[in-house]
Amino acid sequence: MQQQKQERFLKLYKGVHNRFERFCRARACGDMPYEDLMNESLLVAFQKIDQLEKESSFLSFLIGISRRLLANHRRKQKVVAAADETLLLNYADPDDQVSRQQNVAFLHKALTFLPEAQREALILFEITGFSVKEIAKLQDSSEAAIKQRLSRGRKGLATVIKNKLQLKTGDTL
Amino acid sequence: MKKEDRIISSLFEDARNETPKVSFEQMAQRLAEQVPVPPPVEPTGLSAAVKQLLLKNIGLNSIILVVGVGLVYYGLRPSTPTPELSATSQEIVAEDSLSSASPILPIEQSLIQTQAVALPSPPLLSSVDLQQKSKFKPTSSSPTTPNTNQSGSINGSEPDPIETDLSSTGRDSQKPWTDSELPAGPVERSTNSTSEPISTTGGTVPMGPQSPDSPLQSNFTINEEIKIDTNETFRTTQIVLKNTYNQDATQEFFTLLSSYGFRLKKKRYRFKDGLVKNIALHLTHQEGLDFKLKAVRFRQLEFKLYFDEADQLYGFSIRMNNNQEKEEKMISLKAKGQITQQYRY
Repeated sequence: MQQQKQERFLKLYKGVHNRFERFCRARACGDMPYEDLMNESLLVAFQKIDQLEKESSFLSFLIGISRRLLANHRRKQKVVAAADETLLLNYADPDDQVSRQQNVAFLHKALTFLPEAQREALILFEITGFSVKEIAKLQDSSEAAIKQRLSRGRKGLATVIKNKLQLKTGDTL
Repeated sequence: MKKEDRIISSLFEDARNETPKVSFEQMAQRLAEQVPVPPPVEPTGLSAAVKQLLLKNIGLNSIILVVGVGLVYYGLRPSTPTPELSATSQEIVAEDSLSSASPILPIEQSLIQTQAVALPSPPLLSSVDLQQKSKFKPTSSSPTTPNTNQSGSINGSEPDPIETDLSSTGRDSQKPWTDSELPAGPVERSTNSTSEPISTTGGTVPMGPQSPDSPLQSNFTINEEIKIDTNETFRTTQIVLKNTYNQDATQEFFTLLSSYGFRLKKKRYRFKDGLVKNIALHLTHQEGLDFKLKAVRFRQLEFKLYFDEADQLYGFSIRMNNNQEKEEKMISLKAKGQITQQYRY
């Protein structure tokens, strides 16, 4: 019984692993190690797999658990998200042939400057590949609100990147 | 496109195309390590101790079982106590016989006999009347309904309000028939309605024979219970109307209520989808009861009638949908008031 359950769970998880990992890396940045978040989320999801109504919504199920775990973690730690300035300075201009990993780390750090809702909406939309409708369901908001969040999030991110790049190079964009 | 927008798009593109640092196999392995495999369930603690004790004492347990069965058997047998010992022996027998399926309880017989001797009141019907009573049919297919003068048939979907005087036969609060014959009348009737298995409340005794084709079996039960108090001995009768979409059973229900002396000044009910959409009753009694009941959307209606030592009805209580949480409140036959209940399904 347990074996069957585990097999079913892993079969479901295999299809969404990459997207889930990307979400956790972007979302947990500055809060907790993303591996821990993934681990805990998977464990909780495994225990509550019976509550999953549709297999197609497994990724949403996982992400919902991750969000709650992150919220609980923050509440316990009471850590004010403070971006690490030093990492931001490691941004490599995409025109240059610098490693992608460095840029991705820069993006994750830059995202931590945004408000939670905007950050999450941007991660879900741009990185995880969710639709506006799915994000609206996850965040319990209207689609219009999600679009607004995405727009404001992009603007905020642009401002952050602009400021940090100025900080690094001393030039204006 | 501005430069920062281009950078953002490029960053997101990188993030999307990045290969995962943690592979699926790694996560699967971690999960397998973290998920505990439940060991085979072994009884522990108190349950294990009890099990062991039971296994050890199989012989003793079987003796206890045999003795218990014997006691129950002898306890359930209808006893014929001597007159001088009847006062005490009947109480014991009554308590034991609650679990039996005997339709007539010895204590009830004694109560009836006592009542017959002490209260030879006019409303008590003769045996001929009782025979007639047991055959009355309040449905439209049976025009001879001695205890009702309800006019018009009740349409299942939308019956018209009916003004009913059901106590016109001169009955008072006394039961018009003996306990053994009381349910036989309505139950013996057979209609074309569907039949379902009967359900009775545990610890209560379904009165009278009930034919399997009777609609009352599924929708209408009578449960009698005898409570022996230190101060007084009294009896309660539960009349339960279940699955109220059955017209005949509903009609029986009201008929039986009226036979206990209730006068239904107003009776209106509407059915839909297996439940009573709404019901309005105006119950009166010659002892002064003036009680209105309004209820919306329910499936089960239960009247509990309280009888005193002399087997006189002195109160009743109403419960809907077998709501055990709500404490029953006895309503006196002299009370005046109203109840409004609303349920959602």
